[in-house]
Amino acid sequence: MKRPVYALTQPGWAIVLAVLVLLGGGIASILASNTVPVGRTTAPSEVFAIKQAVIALVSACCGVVILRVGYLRIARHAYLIFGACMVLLVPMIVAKKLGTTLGGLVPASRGAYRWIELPGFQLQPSELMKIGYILALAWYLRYRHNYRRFSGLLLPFLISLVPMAMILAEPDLGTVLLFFPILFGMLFVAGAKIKHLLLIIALGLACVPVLWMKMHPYQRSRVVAVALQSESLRERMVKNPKKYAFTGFDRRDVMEWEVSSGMQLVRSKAALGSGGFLGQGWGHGTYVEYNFLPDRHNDFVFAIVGHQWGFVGCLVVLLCYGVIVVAGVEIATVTAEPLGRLVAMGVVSLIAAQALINLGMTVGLMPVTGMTLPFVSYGGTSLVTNFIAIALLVSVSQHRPFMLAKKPFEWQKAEARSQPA
Amino acid sequence: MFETRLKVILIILAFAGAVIAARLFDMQVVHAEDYEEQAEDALLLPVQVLPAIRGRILDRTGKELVSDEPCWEIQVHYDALAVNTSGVRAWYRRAPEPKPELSTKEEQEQWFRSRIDSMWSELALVSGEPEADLRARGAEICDRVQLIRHQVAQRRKFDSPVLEEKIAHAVVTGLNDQQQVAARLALAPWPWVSVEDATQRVYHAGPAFAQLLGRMGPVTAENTENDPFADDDRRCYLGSERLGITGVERVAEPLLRGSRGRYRENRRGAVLEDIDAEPGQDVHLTVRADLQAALYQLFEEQIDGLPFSTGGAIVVLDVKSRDCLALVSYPGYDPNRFQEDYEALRHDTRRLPLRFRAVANQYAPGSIVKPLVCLAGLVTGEISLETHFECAGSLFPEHPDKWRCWPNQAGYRMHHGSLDVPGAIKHSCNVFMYHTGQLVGVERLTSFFDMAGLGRTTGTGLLEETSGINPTPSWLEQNRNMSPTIGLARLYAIGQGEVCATPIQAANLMATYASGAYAKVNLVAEQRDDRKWELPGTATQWAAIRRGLYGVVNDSDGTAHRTAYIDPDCGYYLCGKTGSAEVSSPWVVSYSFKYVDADEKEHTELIHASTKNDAIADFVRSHPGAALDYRDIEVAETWPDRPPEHGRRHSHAWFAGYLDPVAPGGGPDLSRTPPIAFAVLVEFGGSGGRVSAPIGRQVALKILDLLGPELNEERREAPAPKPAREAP
Repeated sequence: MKRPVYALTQPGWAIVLAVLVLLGGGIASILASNTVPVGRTTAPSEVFAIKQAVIALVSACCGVVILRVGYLRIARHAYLIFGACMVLLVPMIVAKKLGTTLGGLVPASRGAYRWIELPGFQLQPSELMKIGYILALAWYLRYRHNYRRFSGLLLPFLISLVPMAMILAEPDLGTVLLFFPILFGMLFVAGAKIKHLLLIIALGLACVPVLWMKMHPYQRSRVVAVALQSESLRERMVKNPKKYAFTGFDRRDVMEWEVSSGMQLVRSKAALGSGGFLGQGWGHGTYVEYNFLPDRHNDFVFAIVGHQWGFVGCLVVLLCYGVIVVAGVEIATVTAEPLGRLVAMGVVSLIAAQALINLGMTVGLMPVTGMTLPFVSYGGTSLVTNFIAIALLVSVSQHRPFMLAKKPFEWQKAEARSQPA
Repeated sequence: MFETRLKVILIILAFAGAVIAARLFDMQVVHAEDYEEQAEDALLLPVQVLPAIRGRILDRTGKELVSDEPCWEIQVHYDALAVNTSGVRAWYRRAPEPKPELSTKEEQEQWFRSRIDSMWSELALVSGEPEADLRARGAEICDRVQLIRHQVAQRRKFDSPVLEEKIAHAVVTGLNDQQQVAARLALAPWPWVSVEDATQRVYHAGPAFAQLLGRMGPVTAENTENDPFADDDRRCYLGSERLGITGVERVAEPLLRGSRGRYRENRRGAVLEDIDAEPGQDVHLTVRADLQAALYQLFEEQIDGLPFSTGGAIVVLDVKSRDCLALVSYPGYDPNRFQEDYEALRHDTRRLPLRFRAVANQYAPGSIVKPLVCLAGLVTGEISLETHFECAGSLFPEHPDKWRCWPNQAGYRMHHGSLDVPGAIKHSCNVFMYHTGQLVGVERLTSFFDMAGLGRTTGTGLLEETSGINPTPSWLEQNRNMSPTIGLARLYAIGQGEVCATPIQAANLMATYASGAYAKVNLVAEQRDDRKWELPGTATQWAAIRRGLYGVVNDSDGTAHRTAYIDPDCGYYLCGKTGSAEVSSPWVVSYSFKYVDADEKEHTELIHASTKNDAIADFVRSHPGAALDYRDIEVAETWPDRPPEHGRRHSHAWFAGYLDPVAPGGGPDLSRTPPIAFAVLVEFGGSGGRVSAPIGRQVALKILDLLGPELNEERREAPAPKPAREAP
């Protein structure tokens, strides 16, 4: 018996509820601080809260439109969308190579050219690229058979390198890191053999030293900063600076790490930790009253959540993401349509990866990368992108399954059947 | 199968979520108090730094020569100096009412710029200095801070703002109480200007001590790079501070510098850190202020009467401890007016008042080294105490004009006759020295020079000190591409040629003659070096040399008898050696530049500088648009500008001597070490005997006058005073 599309037991509603909770938490966190940092000074936070709400509303409308149109009709133009996103990335690379802002079109932020300045808002093409990438990869993989062989994996891998290279040229290391979980997630559920995937991972790890050399010093410092949290390690580095010279830190930097490059991390952890079990209450707490945490409205908003609502609040956030992930996985299970499964998995990987990276960064387990927390962080394009992703996911859940095609992804049984009895 | 894979993914994500949840639990439940503490720390207001008072420099007797005096200074934040508009919103908010209602960033930036312009005019009014000077000072501060930032960026390999860009810097100092109150009122409308208490360095001792004490200057990027206290945040150099850059201020910088204090409270009003500033240590010099001032005045009076002299130096040493009792360099300048007079001082290229002649200028020592040459001859065995050489006016009788002795000049043709060692020293006979020099040879001769300290710094630690030149064979090879020849040996034996010594080396040389041992000169009491190196030579050899030195002043035919003799009733004989060091070429005072300016017109300009490179740099700076042919640069003025009255060439006049105690039976007491040695140099003075020796006599009298009672401490008990007559 088919379940009606809009019944409350559909997983789509759970997802919507989780998204609303996260949105509300994000807006409440923004409102809790009196001001929000803008450049070197601050601006009143109400403006930003209203902006976030407006963008959420606009994105929700986009989402509803996508639901009506249906993911299949959109995915048919997957390659077109992918190409359009790549075209949008070109101005970034041109600006970076020439070192100019192309007449204000591409504003520079500390040497990175990541946005296009349009009248009224800023567009971040690397975010849209994520959607284009998921759709294009899903469309490519949907009827392949060669994903069981190693050679079949190489082409998706290589195709992914193109957008990753373009985004890396901006430079934006954080977004590039997201592509890997998406790629592997989608390949994994498409049925690639595990040992092939492990081989690719091993190859990637072998490239890490080369990447380390080519990394910008401040990026290296962020990676090392994860280790620098330990005070005993810092003391050892100060005592034997030569032994640790490969990290690119010298004595003075290590000694003043807590107040210079590591300040954000230290404060974020202090804000989180001082939340305690139940938090300091909405609008209370030193970090909120005195506006101490930089980036408190986007990258480090989780620290504010933890500061105000404590361990309980953090668990609620984790739970919401858990709900999105589980519901997404269930949608992928129930759907028999191969494109739908791939899209669902791609979206789940995207949301889960973003959340894990940001949470890991806020608690100090991962290097600071500038990844936003989906739905909670303030950020125009990222909010829109995540809404589109969720809309695609819910659209997959509403699609009526095909009855006429053979069941895909049933390779074991198919191979068994093709053996002579 | 597919479902399995999905389950695997769920498990992986659940695991990751659990890790994060565990970490959160650890942070928020287990270690919550630690983080609460950290959060409280975040309420701390930034540290207020309390500046330290710099130590004083005192003379030997404890008299204050330099000290920090309190004053007020006007500080301007770096944002305003560099017109950095990124923080303009915050400044606008802190500006006091009334202020215009401005909401857009562009309007506020405009307001910021116009307020900065008006600030400079107000500063000029308040301080009384011209606005252009103040602006130039502001630009200088910006340049310095940017250089610091650049150096730090090079070290860290990425660029980030430095601390000095976030603090205020002093633009006007030295305000007294009245001025600072007026300044506070006048400058209140500018939120980035503040009046703070500060100290200024006041020099109490006048121009006699100017170069010796040195001066202060702002901290530069190089200082922060090589800071020995970089780790101690109370003692490290900040870009807004000043430190000693020349003289004793620099030598004793680590001692004079104190530690800053720290004061910290948090936003709730609790005081967390309250450490007082520690003032710097006082530094004692071995110099006696009264002696130094008296000798400087003496010099001032004497030198003005000489036609060619541009300056000179007097150095007085205590022979036993090698304490420097006076280190006079003439001319000096008023150190309290250094900033105002700087341009004039720099351009006075004839008198060069900024040079610390006593330790920095090196001159050919002339006849002063002759006793050392004799010692070299005696110790190496080339000559003995019985050796006599005949002086017929020149070394080769058949060439009376080559290798002459000094009395053999146009019109005089005198000669000394047969002389032994003391006689040669007494008469300062060149021919005797030529013989000795060519017997000993350059290599051994320069090794004796080295033993007596020529070619080495004397150990005062002063930055300006030069080491003179001791032309050993390896030095000759490296620097002049020459090998030692007999001719050079003869030249060095009379103290001419490549040999160069500073006045303090000459005084130390005389102290070495007096004591028979070489030791380092001590200038700062806290940095003493008491090592001694005995020179070779038997007691009889030294006695002969000292007899010669005694004879120079006290025998009727000595070269300084007429001008330097003092009555031994004071308890001492003055012994010493004169020297007239020939100057090979006059000194350059200014250069003339022929250039074509932007309008194709030809001009000639006179630039005052002592070296060609300095002159070119000055010219380029003051004439940016000029087209200059480097072949058109000529020497315009030299000094001395005409030849001397007697003889062909100018010479610097030396007299170096020591006070030898009178023996109980009369005559010099050659068994006791003389207590005081000194050296006098008069630039372009001419003959040592005629010019420097009378000054040396005055110096000796002054020393006895001021230090007499202390010198007598070591003497045997004076005869009992006659009993006073009974009143009738």
